[in-house]
Amino acid sequence: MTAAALSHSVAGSLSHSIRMGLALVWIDIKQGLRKHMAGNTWRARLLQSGGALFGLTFLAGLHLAAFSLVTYTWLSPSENKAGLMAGLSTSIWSFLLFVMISGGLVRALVVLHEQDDSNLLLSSPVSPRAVLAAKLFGNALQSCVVDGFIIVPYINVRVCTFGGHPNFLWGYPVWLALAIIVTCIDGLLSFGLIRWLGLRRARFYSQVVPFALIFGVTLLTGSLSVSMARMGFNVGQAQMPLAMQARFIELANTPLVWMARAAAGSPLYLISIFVTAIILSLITLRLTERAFVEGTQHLVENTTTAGPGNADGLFRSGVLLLEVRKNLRLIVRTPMIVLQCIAQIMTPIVVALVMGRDNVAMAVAFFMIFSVGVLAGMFTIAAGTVEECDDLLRMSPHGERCFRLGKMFSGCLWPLVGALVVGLGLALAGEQLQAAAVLLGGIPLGLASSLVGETFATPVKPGTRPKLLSDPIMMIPLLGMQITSGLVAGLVVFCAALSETFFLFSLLASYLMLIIGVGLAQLRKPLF
Amino acid sequence: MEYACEIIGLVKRFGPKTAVDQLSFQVPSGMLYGFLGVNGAGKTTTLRMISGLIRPDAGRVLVTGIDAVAEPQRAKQPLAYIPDDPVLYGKLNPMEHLEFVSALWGVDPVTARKRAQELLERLNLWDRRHEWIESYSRGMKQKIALASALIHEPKLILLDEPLTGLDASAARLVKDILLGFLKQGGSVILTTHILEVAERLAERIGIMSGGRLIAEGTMDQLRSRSGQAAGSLEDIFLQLINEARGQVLL
Repeated sequence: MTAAALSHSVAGSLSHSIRMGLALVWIDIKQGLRKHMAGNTWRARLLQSGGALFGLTFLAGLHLAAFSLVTYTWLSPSENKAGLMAGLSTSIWSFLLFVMISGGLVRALVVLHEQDDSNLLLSSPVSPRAVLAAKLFGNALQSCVVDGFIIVPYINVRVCTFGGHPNFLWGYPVWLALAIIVTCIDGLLSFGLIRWLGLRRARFYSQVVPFALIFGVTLLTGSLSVSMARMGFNVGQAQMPLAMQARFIELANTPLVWMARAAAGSPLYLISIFVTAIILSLITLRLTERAFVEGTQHLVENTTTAGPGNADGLFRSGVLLLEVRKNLRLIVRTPMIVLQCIAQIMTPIVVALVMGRDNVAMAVAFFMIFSVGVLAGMFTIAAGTVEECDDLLRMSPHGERCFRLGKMFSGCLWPLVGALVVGLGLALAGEQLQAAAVLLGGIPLGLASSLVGETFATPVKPGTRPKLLSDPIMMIPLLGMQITSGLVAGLVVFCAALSETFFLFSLLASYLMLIIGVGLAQLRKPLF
Repeated sequence: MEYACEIIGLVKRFGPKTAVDQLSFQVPSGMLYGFLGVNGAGKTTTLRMISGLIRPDAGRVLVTGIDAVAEPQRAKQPLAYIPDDPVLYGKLNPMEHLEFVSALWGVDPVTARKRAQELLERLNLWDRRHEWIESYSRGMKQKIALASALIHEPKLILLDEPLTGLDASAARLVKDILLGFLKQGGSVILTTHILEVAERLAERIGIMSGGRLIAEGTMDQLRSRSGQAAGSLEDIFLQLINEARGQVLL
């Protein structure tokens, strides 16, 4: 046999395909690690160290929370303690399943349809099914890692507490099996979505649908959740209300208990979950291989290109106006960014709803001030990050400041208009102080946020998709905006509810943020 | 005659649009075949069908005599494809990348390392072998893509715009490497918009328009077909394309 023929037979074999599938997964992991561990500047190392420290602290906190939850449930007197604990397990595993399914759809779209190494892999003699299997398995591993924070603390606590229960170690393989099941479901969904809607819309809906689901579930669980106020350090206080116990026990009688029982090491359930994962993997590979090989994305994308809309009319004269209008178009035409921005302002919705039980105006004012603070900054960042022609702007004779102001105006325009409308609405409803809180507290906060956003926005390279939230450099100002906006909004609306004097003093916080915003801008990229 | 690639009555439709329509041509072993056409003519779709990335709706693709539709994995073994914008693993260094690519084609690791070193030295990249590919210039990335194509010693290389982004010396180096590959009996199908390159390197040239092959042959055959005895490839190409468009309009 010649060397070429030997190489040929090796490359076409099943064992070679499996080996290359594993190699592909390893390459992806290696690249992912290098991506996050890259950087030899002090700033990059500081960010990495800070991130690692934050991650460890966060994980420790989650372990503590899991321990509290398990202890609270365990110590609650109940006639059906086994059912109660099974219900608790079921709720946590169901939550994991839900989060995995929602997040996995976007991952499936990216991994299966937007990875550019497909040309190389599929033009090689390795079986396309092996490539697809490797991609799906890599996706499942990623799903495990990303959503692991939900289940790892719970598994560890169940294994180690109350005398130790090593059978709960089965939770780890169940976690992987569940990730494979979810990846297959999301993989099938992604192929279906692309075939029906095209890649552009599929990408959009893959963000919208999970967001709507998570929002809905957050509201639902928020209304049903354990009341922290009733929990205490005394054993006597650690009692779950009977109504809630009944809900958990009821949950343990639904089919969802399947995951909890498997994770506790029940052989029948374990076999069923692994068999499901295997069967679903085979079905997915069989049904999606052809579409994967043929690159459905390219075909559908080419036949559903967006046509020009009304906004493609002539620009009016005036560079600033031109810049503002262009930025507004850029933001609106990047629906992923709009969606991410809207998702961020939903963070405190539960706080607003709790406030709304007693005082609707206060809840509306709080939500509006928070939204202005976050959205003005995020839209400004979006206007900066989606900019692909930064060099062109710098070369123009109009000066950089004009374009920077343009980005800020376009970023804070709609949030400020929203604040104005809500403020006037509250005033008409007779809530003068809360109206003043929105107008006098929210608007300067929005301007401050916009200033900070413009200062930190970094244009993407031409041809690169803007990644608003995945860039660690952008995460810090974004988190800062959220925390600051939450604190300022809370302070201003509570003080407005107390008295006029308190309210006037609280406004200082908002103006202080504006001063800090100007200061940051002056330090990094002087505006004045 | 032994053919590296035979295309027989190839058809590919995307919805209502026929991207490739009854395409037939042969590429003998050891030949560089220039594949020309305006944007959207169907060149890349054809290359993707030959490489097995797209399944044709009708027709046959034979790579070194192996039917690429019936036996795709066997047909891919003697083949390498470099798309117009090759994507490399940015966080790997060139040695790691080349070792992975050679493993895809079943080359044993020791041979792969030896060949990777030879190629990187030849392409003047050996001194930068420890750097990640993402830090490379576009031209250097093109060289790595070429090395990836050559590492498993294919018999047929499909090149889609291989000289994009290369400086004069790098372009010359790539041309020399391709000529060396041809001398060793390899075959190349090359698409390019730089007609001088096709005129100088290609033994046979095929011109596509609207998914159909409107002319094919050596430079002399194309000259006589267009009636321009002393015409450059550019003149011939423009005339044939305009004629084909005129026919479509009529």
